[in-house]
Amino acid sequence: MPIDEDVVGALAPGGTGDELLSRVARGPVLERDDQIQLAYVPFTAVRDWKAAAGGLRSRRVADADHALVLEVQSIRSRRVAALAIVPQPGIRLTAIVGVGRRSDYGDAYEYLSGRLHPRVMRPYFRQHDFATMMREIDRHLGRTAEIHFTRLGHQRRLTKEKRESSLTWTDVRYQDVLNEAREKGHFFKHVSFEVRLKGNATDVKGAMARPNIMSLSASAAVRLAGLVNERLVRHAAEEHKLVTDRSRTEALTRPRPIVATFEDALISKKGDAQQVTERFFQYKRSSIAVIHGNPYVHVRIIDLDDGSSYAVFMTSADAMTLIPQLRSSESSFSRLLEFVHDSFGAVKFEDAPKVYA
Amino acid sequence: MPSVRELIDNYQDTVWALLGLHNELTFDDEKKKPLAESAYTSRHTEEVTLPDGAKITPDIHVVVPGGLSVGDIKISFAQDGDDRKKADIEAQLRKYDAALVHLATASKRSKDECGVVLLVHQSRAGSATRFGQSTSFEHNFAVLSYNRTDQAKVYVTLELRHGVLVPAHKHTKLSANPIQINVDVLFRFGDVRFYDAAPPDLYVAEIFWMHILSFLAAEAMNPGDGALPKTVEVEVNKAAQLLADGYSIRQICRNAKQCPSNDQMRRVFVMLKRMHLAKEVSPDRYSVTRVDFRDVRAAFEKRLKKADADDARREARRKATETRRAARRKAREEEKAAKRAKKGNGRQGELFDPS
Repeated sequence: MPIDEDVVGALAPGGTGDELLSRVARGPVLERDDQIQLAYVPFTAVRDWKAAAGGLRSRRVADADHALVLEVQSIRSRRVAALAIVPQPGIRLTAIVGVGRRSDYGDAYEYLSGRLHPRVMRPYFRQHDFATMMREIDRHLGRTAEIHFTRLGHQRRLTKEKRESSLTWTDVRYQDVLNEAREKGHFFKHVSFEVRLKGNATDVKGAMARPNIMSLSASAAVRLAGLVNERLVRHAAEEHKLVTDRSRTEALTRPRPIVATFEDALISKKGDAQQVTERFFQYKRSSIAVIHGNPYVHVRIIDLDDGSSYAVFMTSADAMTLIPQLRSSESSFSRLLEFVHDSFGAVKFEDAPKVYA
Repeated sequence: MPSVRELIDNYQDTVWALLGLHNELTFDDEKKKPLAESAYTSRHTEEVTLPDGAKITPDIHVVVPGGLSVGDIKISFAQDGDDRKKADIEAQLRKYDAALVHLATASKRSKDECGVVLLVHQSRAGSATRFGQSTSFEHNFAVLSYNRTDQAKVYVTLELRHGVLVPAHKHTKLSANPIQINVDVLFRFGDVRFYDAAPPDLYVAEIFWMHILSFLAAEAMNPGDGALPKTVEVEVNKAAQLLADGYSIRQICRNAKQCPSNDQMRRVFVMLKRMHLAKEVSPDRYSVTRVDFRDVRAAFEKRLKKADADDARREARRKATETRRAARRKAREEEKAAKRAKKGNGRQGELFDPS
């Protein structure tokens, strides 16, 4: 059965929210013929979410054990999808967990996270996270299983050429695809994978997409939901931790920069710095001031979504210092990191003192 | 005359040089890490009142174990032949030299551990060295030069050109070789952009626009607005203070002189007004119109150019009108005079007609 045709009961109009709430309370939903879609979005405050959701075409269904369940109407199919918001104990993080049919859920999630931006931070998978996740799944499934990538949505690093994205169908071991992507400077937007057992196809299938989303076929969910679930939460938490509390609380407070490092030198000849600088003009919903563009990079950025602002310096050929200013929201810094990752192929984001000590 | 862009770049290099020197003097070469902040005092660009009531504001003022340095940065040290400027600089350094007697006692440093420092750009190193050779001070005197070099990393190079630097082990180190400091490490001091000397107005306007205005706009935004407000009312002094606190040497020396000054900030607002981006509410308050420029510097430069052109045109028009008016006035006067003369002649004729 094609994955997209699996309809989860929770999505049927009426009663959806209650059903999802009871499922969330029980833990990951594992039912035969279910297709599970999980996405975690860390929050700074649940109150924000509630306030924002109030203005949405959504209905608050239930509020038990701090879990809040919302129903959102799918824009395309008009079907109602349900999303649960579950606070994570111990960390300042609340996750939105959604369970649903892939297309409806995607719609609902995209719609909500779009409407909630910039109050809600959206974590994303970096290129190496795709590799990590696949390796973990691989290890979990044991030696007889082999994971193949069947469909790839990728885009090329943007320093030299214009943005290029493409969709490829393939059937190659994931390790080979990852190596090739690395050589070519490609970045995945989403991948679909299938598991082979002793060379034979199975119905253990799934997909992984940039905005911290995994989807699994019913039989994949049985074996992998626990692992995937845990990994998604951990990733969201790590991403949130990296960008949180970066605002300079008062002007005298020194900023807390993040340093992006690259595998190769980005600036090696005349004009390279100029190119890096010019790339920033393609950063969406922003206002840019180029203080210095040659031979090193000094750019200042306002994120027009919420007035967060940053200074970007590139005074080493293989590292970029991103300095948050008086206001730097989690969602805005995360968006900037994503842009730097996609545009220049940053491999690592770290606290400045760690890099420059 | 260098362009504004060059002025901004030079200004920034100078700030890096000051931070670089600060970094070097407060770096523990044995442990290969910066001294603990409690192990030294830095008072760059802080106004110091001496016992006799005199006031000095040295650009460089740092007390480290075994050394007390006081001095100035001269981006463009006097060219050979510019004796007046040289005399001014000398007079200023002499003040520091004299002040060291008091400062040394206050910080318990011996006379040998104290020194006056002059930091100049590499392009003026020759003149500054000759100046050093022909001048003598009570305390140690060191002439240092700085320069920015761009390789795989951007460095500030500091070179000891003349005299004795304190503390002694730093003198030994810098006498052996110039030192290179990767500017990346200077980010630990914060986003420092300004020091004592007034930065170019455009530079201040940019930093204000990018970080202070956006912040104030965000503060004024109501939840659910969805977009930053279009106009923001800003108090001149508050803007200046936020800039000085967040983007000047105050990031490392709390009591540093306020830079930009309130006066400069007012100039910046007048500049924004000329660009049609601000309206004066009162002499101390401006209402700034936020525009989401894609390229802020380009937009500013374009608007300034247009303002200049408008001013020039207005000036030309004013002059033309004036000339026209003057001509008309003159013509009128001449006409009157002529009439008067005619009338007068007539009258004269009537009254004093000799015939």
